[in-house]
Amino acid sequence: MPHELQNIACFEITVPTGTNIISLGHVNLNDRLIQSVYLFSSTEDVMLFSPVSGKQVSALAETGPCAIYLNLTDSDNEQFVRDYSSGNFTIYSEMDHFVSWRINRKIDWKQSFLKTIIPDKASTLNLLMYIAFENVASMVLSGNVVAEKTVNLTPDNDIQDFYLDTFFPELTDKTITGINVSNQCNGYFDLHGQNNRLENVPAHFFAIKSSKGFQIAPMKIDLKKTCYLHRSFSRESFSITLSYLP
Amino acid sequence: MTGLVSGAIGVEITLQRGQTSYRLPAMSAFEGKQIISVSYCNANNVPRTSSGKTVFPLSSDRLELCLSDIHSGMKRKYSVADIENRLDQLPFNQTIDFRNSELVLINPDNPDIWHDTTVYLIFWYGINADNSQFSKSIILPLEVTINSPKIFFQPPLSLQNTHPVQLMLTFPGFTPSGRKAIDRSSVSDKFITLAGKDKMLFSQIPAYYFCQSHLKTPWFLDLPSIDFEKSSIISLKDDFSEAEVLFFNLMCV
Repeated sequence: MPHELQNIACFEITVPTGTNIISLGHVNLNDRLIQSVYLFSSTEDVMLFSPVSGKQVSALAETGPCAIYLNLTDSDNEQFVRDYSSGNFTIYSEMDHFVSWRINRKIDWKQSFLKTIIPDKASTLNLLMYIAFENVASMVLSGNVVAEKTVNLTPDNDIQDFYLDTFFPELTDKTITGINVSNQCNGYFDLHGQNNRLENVPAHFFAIKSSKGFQIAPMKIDLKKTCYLHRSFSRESFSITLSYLP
Repeated sequence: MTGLVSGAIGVEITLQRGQTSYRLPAMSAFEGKQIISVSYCNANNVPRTSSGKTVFPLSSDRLELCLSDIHSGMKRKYSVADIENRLDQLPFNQTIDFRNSELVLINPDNPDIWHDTTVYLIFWYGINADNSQFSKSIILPLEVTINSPKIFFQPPLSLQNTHPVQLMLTFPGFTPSGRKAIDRSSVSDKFITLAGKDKMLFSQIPAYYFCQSHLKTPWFLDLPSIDFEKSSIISLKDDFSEAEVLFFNLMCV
């Protein structure tokens, strides 16, 4: 079963060289029920730019020996995640080498942090952190007939925004039940739902076909505000398929 | 594998020229156990077995596993290549009569290459279940220093009285205490044995299978506890002048 995403917040994280504690106090999600936290990294073959700053997202596997550990304390003051190695919760831009997890707690972000060890000779790392959270009960779709529409797109710039209402105008006011992409889809979805927000989600999340994959919770999306953000050197054509309730 | 795993044992079958069929060794540890998965260790990931024998170097499509069910007596054939490669893992759900089960070499060409090499299979037992997500779990760190052929885990006090559900090996460049950790290329000669309160539960399992992030389906433990002081790691390397450090995270409930 893919991990259902109701809401995702995206944060760009800059990791300096040396041994550092990076506070997560800026994460403004204290009252949210947190489902999971993941880092996102480029790879040597699939290098992406950040949708936040436009800088290149570092390829963690190519930086040589380095270490990033997650430490989380919940709203009951229990430090329930201690030194969780990024090797378990980093999603690379073309692989599914990570461990799915469910947190199911409210987190005291002021007491939560990343512990990082980056050799001085390496460069400062630029990574994306994704925090999935819930705010409403999910819509149950059992037995509903679902339709699909696929569009093929070809980027002609490194940084290019494709607003979905241009390509899926007939899906306005429809409940969107799924996103699927082809493998060359090197960018992000920025989704504005009626009660949901999925901020700068890597398209790769929807390309993972193993049991670790992700899918959006069924939701009505404002297609005028929602876009696919192409952020890579690639000029290869790719496809986006939206599933919806007809 | 999928499901909740309560134990696993590595089984070695050494191939000999002129022989194509090999009975699986009878092992009392498997009695009454429901096998939920079988893994095939290829020579790239595990070049030598825990006893130091060379792993069968040719393609797994030369091998077939014929498992006899202890209740029905029915025999079922499995392609070992399917066991190794299929994206949707082969379903196993049987109590196996090991004395009537066998490994078959279906293509015995080039015996000079495979004679006296060993097929290494891991039999996982437990219960088939959707991989559970445990609410209110906690995650703890565990560093293990390897400076001899066999070392025992050195558990910190924080691991006492924990109920473990997942042991995850990763390869950070440095441990949280700042020590250099081994990389993935150095793990192929390490084997993990995990003990419960009064018996071995996981015996000589390649450490590779604890790199949960690299598995198609990460697996969960179905154990009341792990006695880390009786649990060990074997390393087949020859030179221990420089200690190696393995880093795990343990998920507990």
